[in-house]
Amino acid sequence: MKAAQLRQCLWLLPVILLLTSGCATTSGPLSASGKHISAAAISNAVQAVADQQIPAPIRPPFVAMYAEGRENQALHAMRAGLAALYIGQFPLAARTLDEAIVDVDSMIAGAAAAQRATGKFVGEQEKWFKGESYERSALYFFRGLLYLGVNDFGNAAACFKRAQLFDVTGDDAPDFAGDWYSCEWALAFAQYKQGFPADAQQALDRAAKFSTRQGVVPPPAPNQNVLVVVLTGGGPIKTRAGEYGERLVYRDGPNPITEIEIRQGDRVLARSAPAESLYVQATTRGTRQVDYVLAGKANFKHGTQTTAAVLGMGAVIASQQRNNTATGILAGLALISAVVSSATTPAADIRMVDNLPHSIYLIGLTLPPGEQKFEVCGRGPNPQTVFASPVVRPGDPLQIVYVKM
Amino acid sequence: MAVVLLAGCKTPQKQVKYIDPSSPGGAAGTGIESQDIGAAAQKAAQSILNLPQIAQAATPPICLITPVTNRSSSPVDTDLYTVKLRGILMQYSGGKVRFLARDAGWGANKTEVDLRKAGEVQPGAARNAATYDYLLTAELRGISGANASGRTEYFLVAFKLVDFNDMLVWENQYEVKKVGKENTIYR
Repeated sequence: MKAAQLRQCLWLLPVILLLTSGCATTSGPLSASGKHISAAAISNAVQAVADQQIPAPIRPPFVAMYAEGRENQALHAMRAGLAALYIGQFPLAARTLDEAIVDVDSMIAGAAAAQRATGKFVGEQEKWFKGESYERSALYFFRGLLYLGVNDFGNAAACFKRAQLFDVTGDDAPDFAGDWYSCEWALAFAQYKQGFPADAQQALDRAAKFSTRQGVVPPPAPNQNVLVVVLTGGGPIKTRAGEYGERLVYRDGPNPITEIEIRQGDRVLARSAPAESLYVQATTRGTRQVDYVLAGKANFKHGTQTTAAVLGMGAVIASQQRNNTATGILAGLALISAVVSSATTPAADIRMVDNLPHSIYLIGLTLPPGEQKFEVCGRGPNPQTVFASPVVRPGDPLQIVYVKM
Repeated sequence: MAVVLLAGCKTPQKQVKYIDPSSPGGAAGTGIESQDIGAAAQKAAQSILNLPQIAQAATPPICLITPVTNRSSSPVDTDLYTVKLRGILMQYSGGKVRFLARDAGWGANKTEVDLRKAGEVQPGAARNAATYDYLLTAELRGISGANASGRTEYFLVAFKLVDFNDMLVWENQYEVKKVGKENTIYR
């Protein structure tokens, strides 16, 4: 090829660059949705968190909640609320999860951003985070536990019902809607405490039919006054698949424990399989409406990419035939197609509540007043034992012991 | 220069604004909200005050309002709703009904009695705590449904006025139904 022809083909460079490169990268800290976070926003968030006297070990998600923009607020509120729950900061956990609930429950919060995100040139991760079904259900489940902890059984029951309500599925997975075993179990527990044994039994009857059951879980009883909540492993991990990352897929998180045994000396007080596997809940969602939106974006990106390549080839042939007009037109169209293709953003939103457990165990105990020492033994690939010593107060309807493994 | 001039004309955005408490909140969901309970309590108050037992009573009867019971699938601040219910009833009763406020007075008054007995404060008048003629209960129930498109929620706020002999004097129910559609991007 002669130098003149090479010069004629220089227009190919931006097309190739556009077709092969992704978006430009930005230096500095990025939010969960990939936007630049200013130093001022981080500084203000750090100050706000310090002013609120948030305990040091759990400050990062709170800082992120204030710094990363409105679209990530519920995401970080869920993470921060769980982090607070894990270290026993229950009022803080409740307040923070309530902040997430405002966004998740609302149908108008972030509506404009949601509408924009359906467009071909706006990424899905720019929508306000409300979580996938399993994350929304988990949000209400944990909020329900916090209500249980303060003996507000009516609101606890409401949260467990609402968790089931948010466990929606696609048309191809109707049997998995509202099938959280843990929620029915906890609902039954709350209803026993409210004095509604018939309602409690109905909840347990519903739970018995769920195909997502993980094994034998002893049902709650009305006279139980200690609830041991064991949270093990790590929750489902969201990843992208497909040519353009347009498909959301889940990887199973670490699962070190498969059974819990509660022992007091030589006596086995209870033994239970998980009441819930969050990986199972995440992967029985079925096809989402947004999957069709993302598939459409991916098809469009593929189409425009192919068009750009074909037009580019046409331009090369035209240039070899020294047809400058055709070369110019085809090259221009190729460039436009390449720009459009490059600007199309079909990648699935993989922001996730990354501190959810893999499995949830719910074990009710009936213990006499006073300090009660027992061992929570996790059986499985990585066995662990945690010692608990709650003080059971006389007449106290319920005390919750959280164990994280 | 032009930028400076234009920037000077920019009106600062209001971070906080006042809205009517009876209007729907900005974060509209399908759950029960303060204005729903307020509207129900207002109707209940008007209905109760028209009861012959109340309207024609020789002396204004005393009523104890029990905390709102939540049996719906929407978590609510039951204490707030109980206070709101009592406030609306007080506002509409015009002295025809009197209300016990044991949640507010019981603990403090008992402590004061102990202090008087111990001689740590003046003896004062003898305490003669009132009892009630009627018990007013409020219960929130609901039926909720959801699918990939959105949610439908039906709430029933049921009020009962019960006399001291467990007789049901009055019952009334108020319904709220909400339908919400999720944006495709969240389905």
